[in-house]
Amino acid sequence: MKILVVDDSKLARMGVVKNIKIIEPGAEFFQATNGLEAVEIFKEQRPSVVFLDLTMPVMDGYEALKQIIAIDPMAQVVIVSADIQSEAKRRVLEAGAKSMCSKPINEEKMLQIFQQDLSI
Amino acid sequence: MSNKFNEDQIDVLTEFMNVSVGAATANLAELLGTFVTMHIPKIAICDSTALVSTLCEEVNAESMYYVTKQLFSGKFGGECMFLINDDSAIHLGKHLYDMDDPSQDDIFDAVIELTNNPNLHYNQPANRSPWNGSSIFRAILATRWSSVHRRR
Repeated sequence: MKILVVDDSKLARMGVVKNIKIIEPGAEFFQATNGLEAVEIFKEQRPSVVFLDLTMPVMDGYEALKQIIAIDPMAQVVIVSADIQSEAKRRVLEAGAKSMCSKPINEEKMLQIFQQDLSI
Repeated sequence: MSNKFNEDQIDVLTEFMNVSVGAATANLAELLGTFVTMHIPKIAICDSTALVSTLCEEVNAESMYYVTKQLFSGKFGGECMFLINDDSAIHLGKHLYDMDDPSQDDIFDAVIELTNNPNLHYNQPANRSPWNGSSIFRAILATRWSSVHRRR
């Protein structure tokens, strides 16, 4: 399974990858540090799942989500963000994200995402 | 002072601030019934001498500011300083106290409520004369107790 992890923080990307590996040990990971890189990698690799941060340089997660969903309306995008405002959650779900999870992510949250939010 | 942190350590600090500010932003947005746009935290590393000038670069010298400072300690410790400009503080007072013309004390109370600082002190009315330039930061950094000041 191809999984794209998008965050400008290396620490945050490591946290997401580490917790996914517990649940999906065979996953193949691609990483991006901003929304623009994420959209390019998405076009090339068509990952099964995208874990996407919101607050990033160059292109933020809101715009990246919009562009990814425009490329593939069935894309499975999970937002992992420090921006935990209810309005932020409403906006990303409305834009097509499957779910939104607050940072820092842990095994319990990741398990819930894979069991309840994603169709794999 | 040289930058003694490597790229990974800066990343950890930035992410730590991002998560902290994110939680605070969500609480603030809920309190005020609004949506707040978050920005990427900016990390500056400096010694105590350069701290005042670093802070002054981030504020508008012509504006008034309410400033609170709060210590935290544990496995890691530090000190948080919160600045809110005069206009925002007045809006905050209007919103929290549901009044068109909040008094100076109402505004101070609103800032105290916002920062949830139980040991807060602030300058009494007689001492609330405007502070110039970086003097407010020098005074605040010199204090060991949590405080709220007003700066011009």
